Amino acid sequence: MKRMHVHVSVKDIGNAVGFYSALFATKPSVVKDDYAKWMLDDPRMNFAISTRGREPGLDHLDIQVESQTELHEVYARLKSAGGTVIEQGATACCYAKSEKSWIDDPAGISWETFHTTGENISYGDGSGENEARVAHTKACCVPSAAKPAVETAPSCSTACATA
Amino acid sequence: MKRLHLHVSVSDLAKAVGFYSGLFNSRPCCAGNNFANWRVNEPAINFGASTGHGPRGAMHFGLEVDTTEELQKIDRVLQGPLRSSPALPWEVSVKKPAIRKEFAS
Repeated sequence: MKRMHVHVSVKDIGNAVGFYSALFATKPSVVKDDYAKWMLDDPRMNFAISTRGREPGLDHLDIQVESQTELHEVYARLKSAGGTVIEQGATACCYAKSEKSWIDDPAGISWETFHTTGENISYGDGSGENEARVAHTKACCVPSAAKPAVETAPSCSTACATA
Repeated sequence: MKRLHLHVSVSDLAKAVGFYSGLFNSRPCCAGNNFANWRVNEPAINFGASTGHGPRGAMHFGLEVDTTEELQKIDRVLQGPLRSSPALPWEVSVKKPAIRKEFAS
């Protein structure tokens, strides 16, 4: 099952843990000095915060997958969405070892898709990627080879069938 | 089941509809001249994009709940020092009827 992942940059881990623990009615599953994570089933979401960003705000969004099969399916979605897909490959970030790719959306937000294969003892350096592609420079994880998104050819012009 | 909600501001709605339809492998459930909305089950998200709301980027996050009681319970918990959300504005809304409570950053 795919799961939404949201990573938010905050100034104060303790304050943010208090707020989000109340909002989600759940304690975080991982708490570090610079990072915390909630793996939730209702809503189904991996929600993370860290002090690694330059300023508070949304750091990135993500579709997290549970298998290589799902990973390649979402890779195909990224290509279908249009734009420059950056295949980061194996990396260590956010106390986890993962394989991931990145794309920018039309709102300027970085989306990643990743498959986590294990824990990492340190926060990780994102395998050398540092450059921001969204509202602010991140301290970790985002590939630097960013280029403007390529124009897509949207065809959905009116209200579509209900989901 | 609760669902994550995210609303983003974009400059070109048609381009955004093309992108997010590909990303979610799903067409919008509703759309107008200046907005489009996706309700996706996997990953579970209520995602909205609209134009005319200033600079592009994330506008707010939300937690969509099923009942008014759930909303009121969250509202009771998020009082005092927790009143303001860190870093991002959040809202909690009920699917039906449309009631929402905002927790500004």
